[in-house]
Amino acid sequence: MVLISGLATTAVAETPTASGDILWLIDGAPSGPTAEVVAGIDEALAAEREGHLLGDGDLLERIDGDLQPVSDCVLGLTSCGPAEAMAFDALGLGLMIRLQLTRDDEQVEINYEMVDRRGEVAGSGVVSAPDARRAGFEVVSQLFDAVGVVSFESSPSGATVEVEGEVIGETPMSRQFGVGSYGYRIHTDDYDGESGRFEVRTGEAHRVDVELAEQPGSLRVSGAPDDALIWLGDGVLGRASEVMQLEVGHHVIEVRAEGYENYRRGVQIDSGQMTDIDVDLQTMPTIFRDVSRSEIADHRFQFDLGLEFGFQQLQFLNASGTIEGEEVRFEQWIFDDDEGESLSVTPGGLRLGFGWEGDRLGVTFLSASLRAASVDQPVEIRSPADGVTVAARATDVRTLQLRPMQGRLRFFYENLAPYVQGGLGVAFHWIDVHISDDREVELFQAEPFAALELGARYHFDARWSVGASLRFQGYFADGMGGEGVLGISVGTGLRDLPGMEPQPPGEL
Amino acid sequence: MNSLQRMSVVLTIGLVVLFSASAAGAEQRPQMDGLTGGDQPWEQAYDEALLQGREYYNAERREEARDAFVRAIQILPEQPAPYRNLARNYNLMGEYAEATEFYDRYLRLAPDADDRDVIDRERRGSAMRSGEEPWRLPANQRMAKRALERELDDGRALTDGDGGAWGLYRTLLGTGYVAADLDELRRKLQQRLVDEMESYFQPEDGFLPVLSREDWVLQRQRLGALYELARSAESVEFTERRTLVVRAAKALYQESGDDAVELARQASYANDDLKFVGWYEVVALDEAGRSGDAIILLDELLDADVFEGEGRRRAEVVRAQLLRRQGHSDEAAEVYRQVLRR
Repeated sequence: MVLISGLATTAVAETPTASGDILWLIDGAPSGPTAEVVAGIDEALAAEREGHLLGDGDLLERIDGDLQPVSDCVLGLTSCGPAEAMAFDALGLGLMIRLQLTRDDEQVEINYEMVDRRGEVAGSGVVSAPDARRAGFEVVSQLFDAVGVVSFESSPSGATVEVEGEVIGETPMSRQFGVGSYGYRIHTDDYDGESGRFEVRTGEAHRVDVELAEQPGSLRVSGAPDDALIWLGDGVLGRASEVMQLEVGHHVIEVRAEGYENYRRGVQIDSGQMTDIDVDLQTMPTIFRDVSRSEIADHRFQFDLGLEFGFQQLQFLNASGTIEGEEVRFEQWIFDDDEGESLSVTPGGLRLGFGWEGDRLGVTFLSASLRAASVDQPVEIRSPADGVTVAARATDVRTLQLRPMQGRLRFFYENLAPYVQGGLGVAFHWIDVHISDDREVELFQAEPFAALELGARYHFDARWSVGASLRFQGYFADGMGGEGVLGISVGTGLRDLPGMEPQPPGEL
Repeated sequence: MNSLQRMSVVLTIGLVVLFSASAAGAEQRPQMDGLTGGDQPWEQAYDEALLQGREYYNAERREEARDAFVRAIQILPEQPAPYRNLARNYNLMGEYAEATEFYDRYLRLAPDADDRDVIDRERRGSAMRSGEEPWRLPANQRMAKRALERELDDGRALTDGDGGAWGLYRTLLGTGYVAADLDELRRKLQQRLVDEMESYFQPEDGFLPVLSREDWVLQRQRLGALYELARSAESVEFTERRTLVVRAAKALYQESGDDAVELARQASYANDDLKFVGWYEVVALDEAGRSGDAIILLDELLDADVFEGEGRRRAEVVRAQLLRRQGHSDEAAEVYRQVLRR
């Protein structure tokens, strides 16, 4: 009785090894029934014997025969495939059958494997028979083909299925494959593909079921400075100038840029799609924002406009004017208790300045003050021609002070810039003197002075600032004394004077 | 002169002296020629383009100067000098929006440049003249850049007919695109080309990389592209080493006899990180009719475990073939049996 327990169950004629000869490799104990088995196979093959390399003699005869040309695969121009395939080509084989023989007291057992040119076992099984010759016969009679069914499924469905690089359809689908190992890839446009291998065994159904992951989307932010940071949750996603990858879904991003309010909004990211968003960043209030020193210094042309209040002992020793063609001079102030030379006044007025400032040193091209005060003070004026002194009443005093080319030195403590400024100047004084109801005269004098100003400016931003100052002015003329001036001002800086920006050089 | 007067005079003179010294310092003219002075091919090309641009600039040949400066930037996008020169050239051409943009790029690349102050002031004048309309990347450059970025992310580095990311990179350069990020694109493309080329050099199952003749042509083109993109001596040296492999393979499949043997030997020596290259010498020796030498070399390679797993078994099959050629049939049969028995 012949016992057959095979895994492969279909004919060899349908295997990929249909062309070429068949090599039999037989292993067994030296004292075993190899010769009888070979004889049985030889007999069973009968008319088909020619296409089989059954013993050592057949193999050596083949080796000594025509040498097959070396395949391009050894040049690396094509794939060599498995070593079995190379050996099959070199020996002109189409299939190999490996036999392992064992024998006990009653039976000869043969484990057999059909190996194709890939080196894959296309079919295998065990036969046993009471004697070796019959066992050889039985092996020959068991030439099987082997197939299995593979089904492909994916979530979502409709994905393209590739097997060994060839598109075979879309999920869900089923197909029959020959036994062996196959590489597959399942993919769609919007999802990351899945790939792997599956094994097909005889008569078995195999299922390939994959869950595809959505491809991330991209986000591009416009309308923000290039170096604006894009935050997602607790982490930085990137900068506004970059294209960022994000998982599919709804996200809340925050755009942070220096000088701007943080900006939050939701974005919907679709699989494999670029999402463009335009953000409208609002500038931050700049009053308490740190401003870099270099930015302030960059606005080197400074203008300021402000208010000033002077504290001055007025004296008009050199003031003169004309009345009805006759020169008159200021003689003195008349006080109730005693005669004096000066009058305390606090004229207020405007101040205007324009200059250039470097990082630390600067020059004020012109600083001008125009101040006025009302007085109601008896005075005496005198006519130099006849020496007559006339009592009168001073009603108003006005002062125009010009301080050209003042040197300036400043320091920075964050946004605050204390400074000291000094130089020479000239003051023009006018005093209105009421002599009688129909007689008035305007006296005038001009006096040079030296000025030293201490102050500080607070810069709200690189351009705008406010300042406070205290200036001391000492007149050169003996007896004129000095004055102190308190001032507040608003300033603005320009990088360049309009129309006066430098041009590129004619030669590099 | 009273004490107040003397103090005032001293203060004034002191401030004037200090201010004069400061102003004199600001007038110092910076010396920035921007040339690399290097002897590497890309450095020489860059210096040549920059010098040529200057000559055109000084001769008031504005368009030629622009093209030369663009070329210089495309060679070394992170060198600031050509951006400044290009900005000035645009400024003198009356193209103020472009000038402003390139002044900005220069200032970004050279934040501590000695001439920053002068350039910044030139830029302000240019910006004022350009009005409200900002400079925008021309549509063709924008499209070409996007296409390149997409290809770098998801496509091929180089395909037949100078296609792929390399072709798009050249297209982008052809549009006159100049920006510091060009260097990043170049590096990315360079890496993609190296990765793509090296992926073709991965031995199949521990034996040999498989490349068709067309693949080898593309490998040669990749090496040509890498040579153009190289910006370091290491990159050039790497490219030259790999070029030897391509030349050896070409000689091998053109059956160039002893030349193929010599080239394969050189390639193997220079590319010890590509173990398979030694195989080329084995095959070249066999093609040159020196099967005996081929067996000796192959045995050395097998002893050195150059081939792994399945690759070793394939090499054994070829060894059996060489033995057959030498008439050692019994030995060849034993090798076949061993291979087929696993």
